[in-house]
Amino acid sequence: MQDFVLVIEISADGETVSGEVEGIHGKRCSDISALLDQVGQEVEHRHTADWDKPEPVQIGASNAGSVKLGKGR
Amino acid sequence: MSEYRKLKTKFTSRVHLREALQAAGLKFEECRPGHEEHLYGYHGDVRPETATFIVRRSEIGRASNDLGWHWDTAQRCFVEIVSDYDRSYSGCTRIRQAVKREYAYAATAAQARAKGYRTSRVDLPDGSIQVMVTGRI
Repeated sequence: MQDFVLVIEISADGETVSGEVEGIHGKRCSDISALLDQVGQEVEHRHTADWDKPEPVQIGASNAGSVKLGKGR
Repeated sequence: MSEYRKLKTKFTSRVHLREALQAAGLKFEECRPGHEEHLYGYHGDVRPETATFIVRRSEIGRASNDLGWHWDTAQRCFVEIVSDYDRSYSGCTRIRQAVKREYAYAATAAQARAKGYRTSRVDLPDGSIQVMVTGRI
């Protein structure tokens, strides 16, 4: 799970809406920016360097692995 | 930042347009689905244009005509019906801009709420609106 912020600016004349996703690496940010789909027609769309960064891998208890300690000599 | 999008507001939702008109503090008429009413000119003359949502001229200005939002079947959205005079009348422009801003906010906030995200809104001095949507994914 990643925390995100979607910052939306609605212009004073209401004609345009822009949104920037922050805090999410990788393609999952598209799941967030999809919130804007109902607003209207897209006129600009770009990805930044964080788009190409891998999503963070989370290690949970199930895959942490284990280390067996033997007796010392 | 990983992604940036810019969109042009388009009135595709009856529900959000209704919410926008209410949020803008306007007195308006709404026709039931599939029906529209004629707009009236400032002389009280019936205009050929019809609309689903109508703000009557008495709510806009002394010399104004009715302002409406007509459902365009081909474009699948509501389009503004506004007279040439009112297009340049500042009172009507303020109303139209307020409706657009509130529509954009209503459409975005509804999507965020449906996903369980939190939203906060700030109305900035220049008239624009900033919305912060936060959550975990």
